[in-house]
Amino acid sequence: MTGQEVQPDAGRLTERPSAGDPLSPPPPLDGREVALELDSITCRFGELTAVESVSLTIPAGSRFGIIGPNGAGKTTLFNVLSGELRPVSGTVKLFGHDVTRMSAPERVRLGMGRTFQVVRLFNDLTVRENLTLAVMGLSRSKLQLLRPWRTYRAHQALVETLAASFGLGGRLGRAAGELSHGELRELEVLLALAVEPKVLLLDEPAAGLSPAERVDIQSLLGRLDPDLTIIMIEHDMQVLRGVVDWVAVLDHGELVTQGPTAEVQRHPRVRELYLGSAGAHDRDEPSRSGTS
Amino acid sequence: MDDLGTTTTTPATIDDVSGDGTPSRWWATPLLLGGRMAGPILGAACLVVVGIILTSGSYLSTVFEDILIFAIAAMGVDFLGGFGGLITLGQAGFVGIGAYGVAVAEVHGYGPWAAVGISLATVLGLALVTGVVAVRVSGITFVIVTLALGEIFWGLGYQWTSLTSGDNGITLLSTPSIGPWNLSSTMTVWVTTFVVFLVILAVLLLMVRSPFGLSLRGLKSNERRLRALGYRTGVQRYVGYVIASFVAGVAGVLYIFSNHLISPATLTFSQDGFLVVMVILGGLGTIWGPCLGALVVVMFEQEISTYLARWETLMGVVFIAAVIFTPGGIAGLLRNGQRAISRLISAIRRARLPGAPTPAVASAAASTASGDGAPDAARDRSAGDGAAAGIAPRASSGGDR
Amino acid sequence: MTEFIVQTFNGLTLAGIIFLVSSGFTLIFGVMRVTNLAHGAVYLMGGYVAYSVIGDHTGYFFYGLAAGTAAMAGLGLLMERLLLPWLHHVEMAELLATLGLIYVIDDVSLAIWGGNPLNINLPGVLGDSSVLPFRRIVYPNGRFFILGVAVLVGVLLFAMLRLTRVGAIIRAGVDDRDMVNALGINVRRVFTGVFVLGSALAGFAGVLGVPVLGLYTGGDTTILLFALAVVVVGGLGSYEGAIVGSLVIGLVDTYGTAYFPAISYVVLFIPLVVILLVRPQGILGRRVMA
Repeated sequence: MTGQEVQPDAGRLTERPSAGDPLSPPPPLDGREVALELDSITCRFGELTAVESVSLTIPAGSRFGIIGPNGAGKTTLFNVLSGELRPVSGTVKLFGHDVTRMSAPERVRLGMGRTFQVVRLFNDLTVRENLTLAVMGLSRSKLQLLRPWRTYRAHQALVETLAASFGLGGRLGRAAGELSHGELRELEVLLALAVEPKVLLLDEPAAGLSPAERVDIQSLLGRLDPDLTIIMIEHDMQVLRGVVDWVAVLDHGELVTQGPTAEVQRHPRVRELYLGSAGAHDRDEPSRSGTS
Repeated sequence: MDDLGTTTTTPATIDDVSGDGTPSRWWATPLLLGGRMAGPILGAACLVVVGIILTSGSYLSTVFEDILIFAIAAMGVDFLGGFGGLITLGQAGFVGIGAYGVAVAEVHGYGPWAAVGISLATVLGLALVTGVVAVRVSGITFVIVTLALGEIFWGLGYQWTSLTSGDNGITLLSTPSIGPWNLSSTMTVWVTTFVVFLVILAVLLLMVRSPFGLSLRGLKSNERRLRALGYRTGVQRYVGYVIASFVAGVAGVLYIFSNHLISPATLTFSQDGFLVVMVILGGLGTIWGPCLGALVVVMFEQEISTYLARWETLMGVVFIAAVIFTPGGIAGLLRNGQRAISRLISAIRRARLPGAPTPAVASAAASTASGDGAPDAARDRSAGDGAAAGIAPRASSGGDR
Repeated sequence: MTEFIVQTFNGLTLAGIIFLVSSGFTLIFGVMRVTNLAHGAVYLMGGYVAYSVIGDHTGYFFYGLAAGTAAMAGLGLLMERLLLPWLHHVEMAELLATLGLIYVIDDVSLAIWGGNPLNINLPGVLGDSSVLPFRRIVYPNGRFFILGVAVLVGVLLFAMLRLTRVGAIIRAGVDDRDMVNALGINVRRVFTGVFVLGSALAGFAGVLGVPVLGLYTGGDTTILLFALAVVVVGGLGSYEGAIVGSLVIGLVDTYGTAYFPAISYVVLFIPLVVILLVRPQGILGRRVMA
């Protein structure tokens, strides 16, 4: 609502370089709008610094990956982006609006949708009810008290279309908690899409999925509107490949480097840090996080 | 007959259950109507019985009046607790304010109609003000804060003697009337209470099916997700709290016309607790369940207490047992019983059919009998699970940092 | 001014009693996540047990204090061993079950000790009053005694939490339950110990509180309200928060009763409102990411 003052100093990024590799400039805009801009975001939990002065510029319509080993601060950074966590310092701008002090629901209004690493659904509600909540999230009718939600035909039609487009059409009557893990992940993405975001934040959308289900979710992401800005956390490079075009690498809360996916993979520190030491760790991690 | 044949015949016999008219099992027909019709039929039967008792003018009718009044307040608690997951332990305070509002306004010279208006406005105002504070917290702390609020209301009734006459309480001076309809007649009070009860029941049942009601269930299920969908969940909590409190205030207005006396005893912590006991005993998350809970608790208070001095001990033990063994309350037991009956019926049917079907077929038949469509069956189930989850811990936030 | 000083002493005494009750409540919550709504009922029963021991023999006061404390420790043990295992650590179920327990404990107390208000007098010199060296204020020794005992218990508890191994486990349990489990510590035994300690504190406070607050049916609700207000103000589960919260609530309630007798409960509400609006997790509470 408030606090939309546009900061005049656009050149701030260049004046104060991020703590990351100075040789890693942000992605070229090529005439695109800046969807999301993070300026020196720092987050602390007590004495632990989870994110240290991270700056990122994410152009509209890009597919932006954030990778890093566990504990690198990826999810913390995501929580800052989505408004669930206030940074100690730094600013977040969404399409030029300063949203740093805005709550999560307010940011959803401005066009931000997110998924969670640990699937967060309304488990005891049906798929239809889950999707209805999502579809009504931005409508004024969500505070309507005296008319059954099932009678909102436009919303229900939208719910059915959304479900059908993701192959969940036959599951509308099921409680979300009864879905398979792959279906849960799909529903998670679907809920985030139902709020019609301009920026979609995906927190490890493939975590815990079987290889076949991974392919499903990858193709699902491939089918999304190309104008949609997607920011995706992953610690598995394989999942990012083919989905994102730009990758930022975090470690110990700091930006290590960023660049086109192929280049980042060749970056010496990334190989050492990520593919080297975390390679073995990476192989058994997905199966473990799947059970959580 | 082989298994395949049985598979096709079993659903057919269930479908034409009302019309098949086999004399040997005519008695099973009402039971076989299954999940959809049993509730409304049972409810309608209850209402007719209550109506007859209320208008009979017997001693029981005053007991039933109390039951209905507390049922109204308990339904409000269930609206917020059973659907929004926010259990309020201070609603007796709002019942008291509703009652005090009428009595105090009349003492200050207002007519009975104005007094009712003033009372409801006071309840609404206090709900709007205290709500701002209460909805800052959720879960256990919400219970604690509402308990504290309820105690403060009690303290006001007890200490602010210039307004409330303290421990002695205030007696009602006059009753509202329109033409022949006058609340001074006990019969009118019964009928009015009953009508108000039905209206509140209907409105709350409508509200839990509304978009707002759905968002309350979402709030209980996963608040963080709800926020990520654009809901400012403080608004959900606030509106739910105000509605629950207002409903309690309505119960309070009826209370003063029924009892003609309001004293701090009505606002004690014990009474706050009773309302929650009603909701949990009756069945969290059902709206109608708490009415049964109100029946049980008022029966304890007014009937069992005449035979058993230690009725509170018994009630406490029953309540603890309910928390442990039947999280769904009486409503949950009824639902389970209904499922068991439909299973039993299908077992009888199976035994009578030539060639026993496989167990898998039998269970399929049972599920067909208990709900007439997959989405509705799932919805019923999800509502039941929601009730059980009402006293489950809030979703942990671990692993996401 | 003299009046104000006396009221301040009264407030500190009340704060001492409230602290003894709320520290037990907050320890139990902090370590076990159990909201024991029956804590006030335990407090009241502790006073009743002491009354039975002491009767008219004020000289038996300390036997009564020991008996009330021990009996409530035993009741705590029973609750922790017989009731809580049925509830499987479901927080709301635990809260509701202890709500039901209030009716049981209060009703049993009513059956045994009746509904008439009772009192216990402090023995010997504690029952007298002293003239303070400044402003010639006459003040009962017993209240200083109660305040002193509360401070002593507070310091002992603090030392236990900070200096002993058990204390370290308890604090670790408040911060991170998984950690305690991972360390292979017998959490079951720690839980039992904390619940018994908390209940014993309630019983202890119940006896000490009688000379100040009296012993009557319904007295448990008042003390429960105080304890709950303390944990909301200080922070649920925080020991230091219980100290700060007790001081705030004890003083505010005393001043409120003295200067605004008609609305002292509303005055009590003010710190609650301020805290909930400014810092919902309490002064020393931890923000839980919801």
